[in-house]
Amino acid sequence: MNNNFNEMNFNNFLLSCKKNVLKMAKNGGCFIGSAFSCIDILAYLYSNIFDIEKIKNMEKDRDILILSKGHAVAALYAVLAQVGIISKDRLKNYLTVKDDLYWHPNPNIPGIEFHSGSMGHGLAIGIGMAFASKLNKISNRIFVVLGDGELNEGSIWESVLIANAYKLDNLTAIIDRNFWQANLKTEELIPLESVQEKFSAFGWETLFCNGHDVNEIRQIFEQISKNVLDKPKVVIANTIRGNGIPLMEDNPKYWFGDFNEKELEKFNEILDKEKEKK
Amino acid sequence: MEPYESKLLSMIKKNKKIVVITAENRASLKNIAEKLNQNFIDVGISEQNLIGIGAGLAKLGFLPIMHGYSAFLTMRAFEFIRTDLGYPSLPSVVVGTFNGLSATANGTANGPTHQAIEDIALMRLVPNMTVVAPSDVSETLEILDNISKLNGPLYIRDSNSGSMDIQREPFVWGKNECIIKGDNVAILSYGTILDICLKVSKKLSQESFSHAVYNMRFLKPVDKEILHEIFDKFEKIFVIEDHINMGALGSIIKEFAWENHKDNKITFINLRENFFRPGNFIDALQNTELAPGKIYGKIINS
Repeated sequence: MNNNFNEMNFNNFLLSCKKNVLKMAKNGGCFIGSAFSCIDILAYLYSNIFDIEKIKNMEKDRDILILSKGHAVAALYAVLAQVGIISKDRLKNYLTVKDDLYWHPNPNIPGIEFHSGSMGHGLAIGIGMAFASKLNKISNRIFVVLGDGELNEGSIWESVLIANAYKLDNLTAIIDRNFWQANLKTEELIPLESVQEKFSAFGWETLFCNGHDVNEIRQIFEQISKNVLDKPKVVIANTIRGNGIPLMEDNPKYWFGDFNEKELEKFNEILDKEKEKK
Repeated sequence: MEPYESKLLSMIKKNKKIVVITAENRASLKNIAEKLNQNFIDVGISEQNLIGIGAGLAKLGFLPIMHGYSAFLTMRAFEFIRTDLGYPSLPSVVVGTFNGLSATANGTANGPTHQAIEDIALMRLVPNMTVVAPSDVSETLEILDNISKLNGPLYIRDSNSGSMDIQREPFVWGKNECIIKGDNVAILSYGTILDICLKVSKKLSQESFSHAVYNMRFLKPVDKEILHEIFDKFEKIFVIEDHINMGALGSIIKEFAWENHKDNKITFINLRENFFRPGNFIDALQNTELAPGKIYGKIINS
């Protein structure tokens, strides 16, 4: 366990990341519900697991994260800005033609290892990268963040079979399990449960956490780094879409959000109060 | 071991960054899977993942050579090819087999499900893609010799055919070639059907009908230099291909003629919009406009 971990510092860091997302929730907006669903995990990985200098320098043995659920990119840009992989000033260019920051990950942005946005590609790309690490004989890890709605795509299940066939133990899928697909509840449209049994039956090691509880997130990723099983791993992170802003939580109206300054000011206050409660 | 396999093996000995991947299409890889060790990956019948995995490898500096049936690669995995290889312009090789009339080669008799008769049109649509259709194995090997220079994806319409016993110009990347020199009419073709055109050519020569035959293997980017040469020299041009009548060589010629205000007399012989009746290669040809006798008749009466 990382003994240097300080929960209060992390909560401050996470708050700043969330406020960065709010900066992108205007003038064209962002998929804010999706972003607030997975931002705790992204914030933890970039602040506690990844070696930021290695990512900045594109070193060969850097850990790699692919945000396959590309719609949540505001969360990733927010975190990349907070750890200094991109400058915070750059977020001001969001959705302007003078930069490359738009609704889906753009590979021209430092820290974006592969573009995404079209569902069901990221896990295959991650498998290719996991093979690359094995061929290069380097022991980095490949993380692929999937949406639960994204599990509708057939290509995901091709990937799930292949990762098992080749025992890609350097690959971790993280499922942002907020029980929503674009507009509808996953269980009401295309039921996914039991996600755990499905992945387990396909030969993956399955792990769980509350995706908004940093202590659970910590434990899970600590477990993964110690793990030597010849299996790909999946973290099923139970999350809430729009987490942290009561109005948005679990509310299909706020998968996407585009707000005025007054609303954003109110959201900033809510986030400050939420943090104080912790 | 087949020449294609020996070539891959010797290339990988020199360059460990080359990875051979297949979607359980091992027709051209029967004897080397074991020998390539970790540089061989069979993803099973999963064309989309074949391309996605290749893209992941390519992004980290490997050079994937991805194998599958042309029909499934170019259609089922089209979005992966376009989005994961084309858009980021990743150096990579997509080798499609059993395309056009070659779907009937080697005693196979593939119906419409397996007939790739629109693959060139589709691959030409992909940004940054190079499209090449070799006519025999020696040409395929020449292409492989050049893949380390790629700065984007390459689609090889591999016709899986033997070696043509003809005199060729030295292979130049991106350039097409004149195989039979002559006057009067130019015959333009590529891939499997080039051999048929050479049979027609022999008959034309027997009748002392002067003509030229061009191997138009590079379909994207377009070799405009040779097209200027052809359009300037020949009034009559025959464009012959085992592909539907949209998006491949016929369209390239039409686009070129329009852009350059040419009014040459051009005849297009192709599959129109039809699947063909499966059978052995020669029988299958008979049901199309590509039957040697029909091609001969059109040219000699032109």
